[in-house]
Amino acid sequence: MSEPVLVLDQVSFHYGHRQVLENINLTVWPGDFLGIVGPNGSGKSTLLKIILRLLRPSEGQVSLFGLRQEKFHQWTKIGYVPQNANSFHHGFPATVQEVVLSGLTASLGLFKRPGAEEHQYVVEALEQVGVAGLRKRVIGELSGGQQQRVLIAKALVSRPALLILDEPTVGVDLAAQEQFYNLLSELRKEAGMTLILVSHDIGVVTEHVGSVACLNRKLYFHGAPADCWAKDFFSQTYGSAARVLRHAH
Amino acid sequence: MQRAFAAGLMVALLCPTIGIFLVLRRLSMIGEMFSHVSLAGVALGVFAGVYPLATAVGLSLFAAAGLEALRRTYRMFGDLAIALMISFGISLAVILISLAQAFNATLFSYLFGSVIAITGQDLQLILILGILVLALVYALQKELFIIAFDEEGARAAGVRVDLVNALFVVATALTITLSMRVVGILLVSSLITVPVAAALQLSRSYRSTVLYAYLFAIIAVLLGLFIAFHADLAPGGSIVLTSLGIFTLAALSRKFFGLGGERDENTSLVGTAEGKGL
Repeated sequence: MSEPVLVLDQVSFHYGHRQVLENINLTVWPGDFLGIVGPNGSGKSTLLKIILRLLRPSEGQVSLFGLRQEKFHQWTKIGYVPQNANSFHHGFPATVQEVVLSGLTASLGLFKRPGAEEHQYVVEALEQVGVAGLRKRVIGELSGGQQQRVLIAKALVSRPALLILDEPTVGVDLAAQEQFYNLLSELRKEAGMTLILVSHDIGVVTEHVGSVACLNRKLYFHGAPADCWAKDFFSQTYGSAARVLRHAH
Repeated sequence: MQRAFAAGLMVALLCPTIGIFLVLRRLSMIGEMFSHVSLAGVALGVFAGVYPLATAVGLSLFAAAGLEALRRTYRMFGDLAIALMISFGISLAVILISLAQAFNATLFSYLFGSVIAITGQDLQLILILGILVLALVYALQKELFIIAFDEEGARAAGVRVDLVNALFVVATALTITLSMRVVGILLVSSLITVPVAAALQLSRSYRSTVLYAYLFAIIAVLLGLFIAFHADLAPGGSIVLTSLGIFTLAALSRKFFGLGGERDENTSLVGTAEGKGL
């Protein structure tokens, strides 16, 4: 098998004296669809920030595409879709097209301006997520589900090999959530993309992902979702309320 | 008079160029900060008997470096760094003004702007440094856009956010110091925010926001200077009141004619811009 996309090797993180992540080991292979689930405050966002090098681990080692993170510079290989509701000001005066084009900023590099080729990439990315018709609309006027597709297009436009999504279904209605997961599985099958999705919503996530990592400061389980339910790891991460949640879905 | 219009036109281009990113990032207070520091710089020039605009530029660049250093130290409290620098600027200005016993016409022309006091030397400095700032911001346009949209996302995507931010702070420092010669220290930050606030009332894209902001700033500066010249007023007041008039017209035409589209008031950026900038 080819080299792993992401390796976390004994990663720990603390803010001052508070331990947020403890000894996390995790390997993600090309084509994986990994869901990282855990309750609020379990360290999910911190783990994402460490993977994206927005934070440095207190201990341990992160590798991306076979390179130690300090030596890794091809950040355009990684597309990051932030949590919709918090990532931008909803009064921001920009069209869908302008937002998606900004996804090419890093790959163009300093002082280079986008040309016809880049505009073509934008059209393709918008078609890929099915919102090409909205490209002249102001982003703040769209529904939560549409905004989210735009943010995915912004991440896809630089043609990443790994797509990381933070709580992607917050503020998105149920019908749009279903479409969203269909889109992700298409990306995985057709573009061969590796996906990492972070969510607190275990019920929905485990229905769609290929493997699941249950996080609550430590990593409690990493494997197929079915085994996860069987071995009752969710009660360890979430407490006994997890059982009720599962039946609700 | 002609010098004032030439300098005014450059200022009308500079202020919205910087203003759009300050407003979108809700950093309008940085405008206040550099105008206070510029006042100290002018007072230093008057006190030391050297060209005040040069000392103002020098001290503003020093403050820009100070701001970046403070922001790195107090990463969690960006506002605090700005508040500290404002305190530094104003207290230093007060001391230097009293030392120089400089409550005179020169200082007043810097406080409120001037049509007649702009010298050939001023105009030269404003045009040269102004072109430099415009070129720099034009070159960093796409980086500044994505940082304004989502700074953390830009960082995650590998954009060199710290470098771009540092260059932008320098561009801001220069813009405010140069603009104060025309509109005056007390009103610079208004010319930075008000045309952008007016543009946000009507715009349907980032591109149109930029174009409207330039248009409104140019109208405000030229009309304001014209009024100031003929009515013998300090131009700062007439320029900023004109741009507030444009803002009112823009807000009304949005309300009554539906220009700029329906937008939820809660998601408008304009309230924030006004609250912090005026």
